[in-house]
Amino acid sequence: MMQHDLLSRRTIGPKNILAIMALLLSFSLNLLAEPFPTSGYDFLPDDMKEIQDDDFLNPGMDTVDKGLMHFQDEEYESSSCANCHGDHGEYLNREKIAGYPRYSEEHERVITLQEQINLCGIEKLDRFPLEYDEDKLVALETFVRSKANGQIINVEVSDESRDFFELGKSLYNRRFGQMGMTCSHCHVQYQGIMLRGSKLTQGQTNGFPVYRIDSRQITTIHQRYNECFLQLRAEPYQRGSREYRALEYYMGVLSNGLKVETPGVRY
Amino acid sequence: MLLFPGLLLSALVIFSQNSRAEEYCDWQLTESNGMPAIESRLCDLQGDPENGKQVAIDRSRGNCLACHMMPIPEEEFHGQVGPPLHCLAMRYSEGQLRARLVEPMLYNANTIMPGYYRHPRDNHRLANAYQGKTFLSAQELEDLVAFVVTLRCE
Ligand code: HEC
Ligand code: HEC
Ligand code: HEC
Repeated sequence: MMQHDLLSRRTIGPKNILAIMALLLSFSLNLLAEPFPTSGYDFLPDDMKEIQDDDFLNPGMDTVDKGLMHFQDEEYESSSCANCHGDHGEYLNREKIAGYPRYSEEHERVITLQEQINLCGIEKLDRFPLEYDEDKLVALETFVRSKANGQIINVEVSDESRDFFELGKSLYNRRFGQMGMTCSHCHVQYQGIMLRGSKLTQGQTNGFPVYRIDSRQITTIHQRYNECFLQLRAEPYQRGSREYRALEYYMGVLSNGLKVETPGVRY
Repeated sequence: MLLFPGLLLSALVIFSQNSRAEEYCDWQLTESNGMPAIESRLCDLQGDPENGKQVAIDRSRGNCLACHMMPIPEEEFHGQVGPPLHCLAMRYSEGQLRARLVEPMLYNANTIMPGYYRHPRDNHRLANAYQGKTFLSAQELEDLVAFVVTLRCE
């Protein structure tokens, strides 16, 4: 029998004892796993936790400060975000921020926090649209999200947003690249176990944008997706693409119940 | 204090470039003792166990140690994603091991283990650098088989 169309093949029958053994194995491994949801923070060693917790040590605070500068910057139209949202963003709705990506009645689609910030700039301040993930937008996002620190994540799915949620879910469970793995393989099924020297986390997004000790840079959610795609030897999607935004939405729901902790500190 | 160079980054490797694309060697799936098996060597190539051991260790090739413990004590950081491979050849025939390495989904449709000789067209969104390429070359796959059949415990 020639057999190459393996992706559609399902082995059913007595020979499946092996598959069942593998399944049992993965159950027993999962005893090492953390309950859902658990922040990436809880997988960190104590000295890394300290750095994240201390605003003076956390290098991501530089980006928060930059964001605040942009927030107050009046540019040429002599008005700024601060005009509506308070000098230090004190009138921003923290609970709402912890609910992004969220469905916008006005735009009839799900928008990410970055898109909300961009839309405010365009619609309320008559500014030029910024490109997804460009420095200024990332700084603003980091600042705005840090205002919601400690707030419980509550991303909602409604009838209108169901399709977008399902798109994210299907991407999360799709095999990608030459490695042929899904996000859920590493971040759900095998979270908590060692992969040649490092512990897999649940890939939660509650700390984003995060400061990375390795690259010494702030990393956005979509940038992190790119890294995981490259690990899988898969072609990444564009930052800001429909696919990445859908993934962010689905993963927001996976993070529900965790606290916002921007800027997180990670390797 | 801050830097743990390499250690974590290299946990799952950003793999280096593969060799050039080569013609895919077709294979014949059979069963042995009710388990999937590929009895013939790919393109009739002869495997070299010494080289196969290197393929197993090499992070840019087999990288089996990312997920398995193996009787290769000189290497650090053996993973625990899959079972230890110590006495493999006592449990599986050569043909079964070849099938497992070519396409582990034959054994477990939900497996996380990569298909080391999966046909490139069966990969979704393969990165440009890997277009038309299998994970391992047919020769490397046969080297690996020649190595794993030596893993028996007397
Ligand atoms: C003219 C007033 C105005 C300006 C200027 C403005 N916004 Fe807004 N912003 C709003 C309003 C009104 C909403 C609520 C929109 C909604 O609920 O759909 C909002 C919502 C938001 C939210 C969602 C959280 C919340 O509190 O509702 C964020 C984050 C935000 N704006 C950031 C910014 C940033 C960053 C800027 C500057 C680039 C900015 N805004 C400029 C009026 C403004
Ligand atoms: C082969 C395993 C693997 C797969 C598959 C994988 N990742 Fe990851 N991912 C990692 C590793 C390793 C890290 C860094 C350590 C950690 O947080 O687990 C990481 C980190 C992350 C983080 C950051 C978590 C944090 O707290 O900072 C996110 C978000 C993420 N991955 C998303 C994804 C998405 C989306 C996919 C599917 C497209 C995916 N990953 C697939 C291995 C994987
Ligand atoms: C990403 C993790 C991963 C990598 C890399 C990996 N494996 Fe596996 N392997 C597994 C898992 C998990 C199983 C358990 C069965 C299953 O889930 O498919 C397994 C099962 C096996 C088995 C069956 C073992 C038994 O006792 O039934 C063999 C043989 C095997 N792997 C060989 C290899 C070799 C050789 C390599 C390197 C070329 C390798 N694997 C690389 C994850 C991996």
